[in-house]
Amino acid sequence: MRKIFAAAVREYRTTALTPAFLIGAVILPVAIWGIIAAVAGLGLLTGEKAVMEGRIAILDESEDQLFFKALTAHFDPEAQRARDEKRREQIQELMDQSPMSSMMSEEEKQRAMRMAAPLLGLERIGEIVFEPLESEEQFNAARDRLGAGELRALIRVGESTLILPELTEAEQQEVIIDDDPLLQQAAASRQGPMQSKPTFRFAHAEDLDSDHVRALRSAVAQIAQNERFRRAGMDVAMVRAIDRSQPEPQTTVVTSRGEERESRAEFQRMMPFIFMMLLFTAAVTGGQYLLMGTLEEKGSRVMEVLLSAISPMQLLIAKLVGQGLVGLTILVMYTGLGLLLADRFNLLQLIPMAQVGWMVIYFLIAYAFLGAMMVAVGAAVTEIREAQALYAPITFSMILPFVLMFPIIENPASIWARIFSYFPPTTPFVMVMRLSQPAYPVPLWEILATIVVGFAGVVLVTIAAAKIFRVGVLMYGKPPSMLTLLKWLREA
Amino acid sequence: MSDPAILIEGVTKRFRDKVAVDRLDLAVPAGSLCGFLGPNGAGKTTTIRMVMSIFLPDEGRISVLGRKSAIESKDRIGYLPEERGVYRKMKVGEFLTYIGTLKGVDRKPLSKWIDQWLDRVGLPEVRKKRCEELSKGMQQKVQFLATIIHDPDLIILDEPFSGLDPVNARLLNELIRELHDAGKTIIFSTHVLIQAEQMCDRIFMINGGKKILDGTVDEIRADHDPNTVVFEPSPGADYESTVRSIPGVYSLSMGDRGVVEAHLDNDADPRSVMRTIVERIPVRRVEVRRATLEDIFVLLVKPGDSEDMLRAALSGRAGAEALHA
Repeated sequence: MRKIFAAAVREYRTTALTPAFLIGAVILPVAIWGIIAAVAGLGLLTGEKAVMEGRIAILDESEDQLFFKALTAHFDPEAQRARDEKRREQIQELMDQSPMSSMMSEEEKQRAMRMAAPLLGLERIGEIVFEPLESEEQFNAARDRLGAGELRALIRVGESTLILPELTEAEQQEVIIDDDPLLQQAAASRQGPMQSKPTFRFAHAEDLDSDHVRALRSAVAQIAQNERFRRAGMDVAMVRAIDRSQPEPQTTVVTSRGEERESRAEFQRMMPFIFMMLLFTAAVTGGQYLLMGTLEEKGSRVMEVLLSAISPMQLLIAKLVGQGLVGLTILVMYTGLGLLLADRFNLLQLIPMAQVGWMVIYFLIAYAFLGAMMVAVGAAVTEIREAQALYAPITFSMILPFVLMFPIIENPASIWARIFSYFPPTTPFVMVMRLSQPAYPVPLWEILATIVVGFAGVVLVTIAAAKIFRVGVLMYGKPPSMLTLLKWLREA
Repeated sequence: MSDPAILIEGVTKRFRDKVAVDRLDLAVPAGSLCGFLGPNGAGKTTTIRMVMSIFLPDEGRISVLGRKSAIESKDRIGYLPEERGVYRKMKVGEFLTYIGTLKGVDRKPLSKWIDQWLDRVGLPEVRKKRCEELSKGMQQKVQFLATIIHDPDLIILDEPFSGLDPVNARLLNELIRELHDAGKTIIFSTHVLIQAEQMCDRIFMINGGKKILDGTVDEIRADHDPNTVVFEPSPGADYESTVRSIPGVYSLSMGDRGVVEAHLDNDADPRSVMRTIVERIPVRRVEVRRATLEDIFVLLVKPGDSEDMLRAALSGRAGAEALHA
């Protein structure tokens, strides 16, 4: 026992208490997030976007050349400047309200504004000329001009862009809640073949910035929308205003203990994913260190020196325990960090604490299962390159949880979710995903049963690993094949 | 006589079809210093690993220090494996402490012990160095210290001299003698037969997994005494017919550098033959030829018994595995 303890402590110390571990487990993930954030920031900062300018031809067959007029007015330099000014004012207002504002001088504020301007999409629109087309021929000719680079874009709109849907009698009386995509589709097709959907044509030059494509298209669409509202006899300003001011739900959840608190259903959806990733990261990290450590001891020929003091089984257990603690360290570190963040953002009550407790147990199963296989592979080969051939079962049990992830998050009560709960390689992953969905409670007996099955699997794999370990650790030379490993299992 | 330190009875170990050790019987007396000899691939390392319970025998029994297996008396055994290494990134002091702890030594006395012994083997400065910074010879010495760190009663050294320069070999030789004088039982395997001859009071030799020699050095010599008198006649002396006529001499052969070997009948007395030679012809020196271990080794082991031949004979993976196991 003392020997196992000493060896386990060495495993833990040489892995977890090293600068390399700190870098790998703590600094690296932080740095990755930092880099992602920085890149996102850079993306914004390098927002020296192309200025939209040039000629755009438009064949407007609508009544009164509605689109041509509206577009010309919208993209008029004066109008743009006015809009920019308005936004600037709004931003200025926001800045003044922020606590930062009192600490900045007027000069600094202006500098900040100048720096922020490109980020906020200001000053990106230049001189745009809309050229009205009179006929089909001109439109066809304009197509060639667009290809030749003379035009930036070509638009064709007309009454067909403005057609109104015809409502059936039933629809007029029914209050429709469009939350079912299937019903929406059915409603759309009910409009009949005669009544095609409103369309318009939009062609643009190859090198037109995608932002500009979007801006132009949405301008046309909005003009059409406004006109359609008006033709249907509605107050456009009012419709827009209603659309902007959707009723804000004040969602709460009432717990079984009778407490009522804010509901965070969106966040809740992420929980299974977060728990599963935590488990996976911790288990795989511990397992990886096991493989590397065993390989090192074998490669440096220190193995037999160790075996003179400690039996192979003791060493195997010590390694599993030591690196298990490493994995647990990672789990505790990340979970702690997660809980801290959750507390900071007031989401703590969303995390089922019992779940965290079960997760530790399921971690042990996941880790021991992977770890035992890793140790066996580490013991069977002499070089990391040779490990590749024997890695297949490990890869399999690492990929399976990911394959199952989405089906199980979507359908935690399905028969498949339950079957894979009793398949030791996937038991821990499937169970943490199931447990983190309060809408589908898992009965206690099932938790206990899966834990029993999981540990039974662990025991079997560990026994097999011990056999391979015992034979493999002192075997050098040509690496064994999968078939040879099976023979060892039978013979040892 | 007290119980043997190691008792091997009818032990057989097979790897696949190859018999590595074949019905071996061996008793290592407590307090003896034994040489364990044999050609490469004879089964020495396999035997030692079975003694250490790293391998389990297929048949037969092994008891170590009066216990049924080495596992029960592991903390009283010091074992220096042939395949030996260190944790490259670990400091020497940490490495020795770790091995010591694994062998059940308390931390406190350990630290002092390490300082003393590092000093003793001429490495007073290396405690804080990483193992990878040491030369191979230095590593060997550290490994030797790791072997005896827990003051074991039984010390098993597999090829302890390989890779050591003469100075360090002499140091190790001294250390082994000291431990022997302190009453430890020591077994070491070696290819350097002179060393075994000079140091050991008992020799075992195995070949092809079978024991072919077992006894004290004197006993083995007596058993393999060539009964030969060697003399160096003065230049120009006519010795041939004179010596041939001495009773008991049945043949003559030329040795190196003018040395002549007179082979005697089995029942002839070498001392009387020597006396007669000195009386009848002028000689520079005359002596009884003693059998060296090397002579006996070469006599008993055919070239084909060595591992190299075996490796060539066994083709494919099974062969390589059998050898490496």
